[in-house]
Amino acid sequence: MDQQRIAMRVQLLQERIEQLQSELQELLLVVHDLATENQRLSLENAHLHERARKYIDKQPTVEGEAMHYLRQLYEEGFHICNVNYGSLRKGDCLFCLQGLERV
Amino acid sequence: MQFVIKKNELLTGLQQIVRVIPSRTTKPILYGVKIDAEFNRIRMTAYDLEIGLEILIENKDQEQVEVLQVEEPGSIVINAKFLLEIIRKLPQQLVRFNLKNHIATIQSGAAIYTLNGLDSREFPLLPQVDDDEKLTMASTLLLQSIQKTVYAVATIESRPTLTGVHFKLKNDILTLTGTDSHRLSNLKISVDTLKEYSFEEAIMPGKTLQELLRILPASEEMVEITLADHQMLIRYDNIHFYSRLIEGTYPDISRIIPETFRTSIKIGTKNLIESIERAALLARENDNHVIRLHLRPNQTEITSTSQELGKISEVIEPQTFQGEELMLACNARFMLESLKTIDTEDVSIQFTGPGSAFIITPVESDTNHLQLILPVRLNHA
Repeated sequence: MDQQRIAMRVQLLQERIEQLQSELQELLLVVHDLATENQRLSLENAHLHERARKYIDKQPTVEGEAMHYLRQLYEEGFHICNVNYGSLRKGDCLFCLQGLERV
Repeated sequence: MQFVIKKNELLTGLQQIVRVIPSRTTKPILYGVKIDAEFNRIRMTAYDLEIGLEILIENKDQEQVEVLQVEEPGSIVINAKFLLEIIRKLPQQLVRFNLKNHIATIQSGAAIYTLNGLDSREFPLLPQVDDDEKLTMASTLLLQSIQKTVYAVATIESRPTLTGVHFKLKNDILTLTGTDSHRLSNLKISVDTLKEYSFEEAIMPGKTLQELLRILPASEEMVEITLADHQMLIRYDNIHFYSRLIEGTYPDISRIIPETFRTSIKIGTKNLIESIERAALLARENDNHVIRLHLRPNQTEITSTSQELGKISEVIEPQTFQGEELMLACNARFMLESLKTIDTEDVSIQFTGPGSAFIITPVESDTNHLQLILPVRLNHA
């Protein structure tokens, strides 16, 4: 009787272990999937960051179009400062350079 | 009008008056000096509509010998340069003036001049300056401050505001700024004002200030500066100096002054001046008086090259050197004019780069004086 009960309990335990085992396998698969997914996403995120940074770096050159023309004007020998805008320049000018943020 | 005056008093006054007389004008009356005889004093006025000068001659002290005796008040305008020459050549120390119908008789000893004068009512009136609020400072301090800034103002009239020195008074700090856009000089001095007098902007013409440098004596006595609408009045003893102010807005200079530096040196002022003067002898050939500075640790090399003449190189040792090695070119004249306003033994120069302005300041000085010079950009650089 006792032996039978023990055998029953062992069998039950074995069934439960098997059940847990399969559950664990399932979970491991999920974990694996999640890990892969995570890796993919973080990679993608990094790429996006990089692209975003490049975009930000590009931004000023797009905005600096006016500045570019001003600089060009200055290099060609004209004042671009509000003190004497547009007149011929002889030598560098403190006010122009201030405008060009080079001082 | 009738008065007797000591020749020397009249002569000193006239010599100053003549400086303000224009050399060319469309209004002949401006060649004249207006002489007003009042009850106890003589007032001499010259005014070219820009700068006006008024000199009072009076008996200062009862105990002293009288310099003047007015017998009958009156007023006349006489050509100032002629009058100066005449007074200078008079034989005796006493001069008697007599006026009838715009004809002045000047008598000294046996010499009698009869001069045709002009009606003093045609002479332009000096501007009215209300002197409720004024700034008072020692004459010598004002002179020094002007000297330290006026050299940097622009001489070309195309930018009127830059041909003057900008004065600003706030919280008892007087700030003077002169710039021609290639270099700049900025001086801050503390002054005592009554009633917390302040003003934001007064641009005094460079020409006026140069004149003031000649007229004011370097003494500890006080001068009074008063500002009114586009006019200013400077009073010293018996001298009243009027000038028009330059209209317009002075450019903002606060952002021009660099705050970070790559290289700084401290160097003997006299050594540096002499060395640059030597280099400048060859620099004169080029347009910009270009000399080159090569800053190395413990060595400052000053060189100058002229295609026809040759080259010069001189090495002087700075007191201290901080930062990176740097090479730049600059205008020798600008450097010299700046360095000559420095009255301390050593001078500190802070550089930002070969294309950016550098700062010259005195070392261990009470004066808050900052000078800025833009280097000359080299074509191959």
